[in-house]
Amino acid sequence: VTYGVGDFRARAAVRLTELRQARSHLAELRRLHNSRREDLVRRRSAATSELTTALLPAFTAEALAAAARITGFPGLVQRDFPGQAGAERQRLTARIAEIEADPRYRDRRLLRDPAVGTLTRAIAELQEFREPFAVVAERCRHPRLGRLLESGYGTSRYAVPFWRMSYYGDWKAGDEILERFPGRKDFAAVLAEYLEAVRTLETYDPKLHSLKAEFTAGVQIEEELGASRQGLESLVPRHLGLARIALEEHLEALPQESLADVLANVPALEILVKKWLGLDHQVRYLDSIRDLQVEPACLDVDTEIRKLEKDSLKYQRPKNAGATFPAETFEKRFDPSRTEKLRKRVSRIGEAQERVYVFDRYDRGSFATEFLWWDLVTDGRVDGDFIPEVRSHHAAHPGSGVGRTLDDGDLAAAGAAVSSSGTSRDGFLDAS
Amino acid sequence: VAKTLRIVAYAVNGAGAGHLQRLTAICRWVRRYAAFCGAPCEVFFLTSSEADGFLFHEGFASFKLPSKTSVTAAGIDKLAYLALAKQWVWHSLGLLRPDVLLVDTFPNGSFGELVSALDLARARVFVYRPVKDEVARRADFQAMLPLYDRILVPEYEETAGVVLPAKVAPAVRFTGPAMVRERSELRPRGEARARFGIPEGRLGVLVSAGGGGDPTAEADLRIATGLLLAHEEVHVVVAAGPLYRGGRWGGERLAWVSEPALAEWLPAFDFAVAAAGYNTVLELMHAGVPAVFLPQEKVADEQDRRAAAAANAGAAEMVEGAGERVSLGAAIARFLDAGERERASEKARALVPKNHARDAAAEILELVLAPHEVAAAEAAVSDDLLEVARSLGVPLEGFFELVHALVPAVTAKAASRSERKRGREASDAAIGLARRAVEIGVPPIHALRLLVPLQRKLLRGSLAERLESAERILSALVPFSEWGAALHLVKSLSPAREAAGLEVAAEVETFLVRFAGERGGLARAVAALAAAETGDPRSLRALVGGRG
Repeated sequence: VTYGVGDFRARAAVRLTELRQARSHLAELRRLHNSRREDLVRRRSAATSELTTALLPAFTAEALAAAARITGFPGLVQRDFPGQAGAERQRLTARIAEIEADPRYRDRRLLRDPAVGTLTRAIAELQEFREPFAVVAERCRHPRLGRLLESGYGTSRYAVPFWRMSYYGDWKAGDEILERFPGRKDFAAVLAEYLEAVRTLETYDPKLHSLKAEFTAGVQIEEELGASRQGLESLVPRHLGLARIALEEHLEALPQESLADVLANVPALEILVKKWLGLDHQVRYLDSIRDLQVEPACLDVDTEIRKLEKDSLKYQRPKNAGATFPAETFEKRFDPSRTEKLRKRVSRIGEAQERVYVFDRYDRGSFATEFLWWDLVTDGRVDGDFIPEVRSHHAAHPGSGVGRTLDDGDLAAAGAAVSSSGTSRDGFLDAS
Repeated sequence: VAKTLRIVAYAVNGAGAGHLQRLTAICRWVRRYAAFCGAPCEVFFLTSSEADGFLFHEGFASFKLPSKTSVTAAGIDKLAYLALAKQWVWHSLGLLRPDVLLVDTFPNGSFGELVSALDLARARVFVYRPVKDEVARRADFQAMLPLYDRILVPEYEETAGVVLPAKVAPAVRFTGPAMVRERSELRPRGEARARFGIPEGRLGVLVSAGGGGDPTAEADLRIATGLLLAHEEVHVVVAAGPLYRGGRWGGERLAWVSEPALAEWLPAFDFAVAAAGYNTVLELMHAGVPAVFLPQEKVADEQDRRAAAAANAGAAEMVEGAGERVSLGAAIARFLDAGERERASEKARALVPKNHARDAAAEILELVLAPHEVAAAEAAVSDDLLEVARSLGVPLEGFFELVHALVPAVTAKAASRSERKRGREASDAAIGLARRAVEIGVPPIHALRLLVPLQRKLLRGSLAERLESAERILSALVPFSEWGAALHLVKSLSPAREAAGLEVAAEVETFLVRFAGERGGLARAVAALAAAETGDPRSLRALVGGRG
């Protein structure tokens, strides 16, 4: 039995529709992954902050020493956070005193008051003086102005003969500049005015620049004082924050079972640590689901879609109208069970993602070495052996984890044995 | 909220009650351990036993289908019934979709239907009670075993004698005998004798036909009661069994009983004359009741082998020959002697020293819960805990809450790695605390209601300090005898993270002294605390010493 092109195109169209549906579901899972991961990361960050705040509630040497002792993290004391804060306090205090004594800050009103400051007024006056000259210079701005000045256009020095093209270019440019000065008879009058403006600006501008630099330096020193004072005010919270970050990094680097030792000292923090650990595992599991399940599935579906589209195009050509397909390969390619398997695969990925995201029973977690968060997070209902950590744990702890799927071989052997044995003489066993 | 764990116990193997009792024994512990782990647990029985009233008595829900015996009696076509029963089991399992399917006796079910239904369960457990070789060696029996995730043999490995294919070895657990009652749950002898009306100075003798469904049951009961009543000092109690449909006869020193859970009343009896089913033999031996066993012939069960084992151990006599029992008189005569009874009783206890239903339950739960949680439950739910809960008349679940509230206080470094040790220590602390609360005068019904919230408020301090704090606070509350107000006061305290337990106790004591001797003093104290915006321990301090 063989199949024709018509059969192929009909079955290919159906399969393509199914594949595109699966692709769309996978795209939705990708989108969900991003939003869910973002949410879990936010919650993990809040849990981390909650935990480190509980472990290090204040920025005192005693609190730091206690946190170092509880967490087994001597770095918290060795890094001398209070010493660093003290040094910064000293530096800032000295700088503040220095700035406060600086005439540029001390006389700030006198110098830079927006209305009556001497610097403000001097700058305003100079700008007022230079303004008319600046207007003339600006009005004369032209691409050919440099050449006109160089060649002495408008003066007796101008010696360009009339048969040169540049003669007419100069003439045109001179006229264009002249047009901007109504009332002037010729370019010579404009030129004199321009040269006078340039000379005046050359006198005023260095002075103006110097005044402005002095003004800016004063403003900067005021800003530096504000920042220093703010730095002094936020000194303790900032250094406390740094100490908590160091603590967080230490806790993150600790093996899970070592956290039990931390908790041995402060059992009241147990639930906080479990929540933090649980959220961390949820984020990692979500990433593994995307990298090891969603993306490979997308790749497989895309590859099959591309191949099917290419073949569909190929068998639309008249020269292939008579092509036939052997039944075995045709049936294998369009086997309906493949669609069902793909649907189940996508559904399993969705279920795994959903279970990982919705988990919130952190109190049921443990620090024991034989404990696996995956089993708790998914309630042991999702096969997580695609994740290396889960697979190695299950290999080391046989019997743990997700319910075993019945082995096809065992099932077939049992079925055969049952049908060949018969149940009993009258169909059922009765032990009574 | 944790997901509900659904367990289906498949107790379909005839009209009898043995498999029902065995599964009930295991499921009682499954329910306890699951409750401790905070996993709500629904247990459903699918059963054909005509003794399903026993399940109601034990608080288990059941779906019943007719037994072969009742189908025959009702004149229903067997083939039609077989088809219906198979479909019924498949559909039931399909609707229930159990987390654990627990199957007893026949791995492929009574109708050969389970091979097509096992994949409806997340985990599959077979309770492999030793059966006759001819049954165990059947190809279908052996071929079904690899399909189970756990095979629990409720016997000791050295005496079990079960036939197993090599490939299932990793799944097999020899858990030891499983019975419906622990020794700590048995009734005191005096109370039990009073229940059956056994007069002082008479020997209480139990005559039992097991489930009562065996065709020889009536004949055996008649022979046994006749021989026993010939002795003036004997008072006979006949427990014919829930399936017994034979005649009943009266007489002086003779009583018929139909206790659903006879096991807990066994201390009433000096010895027994009984069939040798799995549960009957194990319960009698476990309770230390010497027995004359009358083995019955069963399709799968080897009663004679079990009875012989008890007889060889010196704990029992065995009399064969169903319906005749020619040497029964001599066997009974042995146990009329007090010394013989005492020696046999000791040997019986040694033969079945422990009820291992809890071990089977732990094996089952480990398939669906985290092993560390199950380990903690095993350690915490001890006989002492059962005993104290029963003696105080409070629900076991209340104790679980108290144990959980105490676990964070178990701070030993090594213990923090071992859930088992932590659970055990917290459990012992809970027991001690509850007993102490009752000793100092808190009514048992109120003791746990107060202790659980109280322990949740006392977060700082070692375990010993927290226990002492709780005791001191309860002692301060006792003189008022206002338990509603006491609960209100305890709940109105906020968790004292910054104050040590002993400090809180001292402040509560000082605070309550002001209201001592007043009528309704504790209610006034609660009102004063509420007026000071309580919930904040600083308010309490302000009221006590003005330190705010």
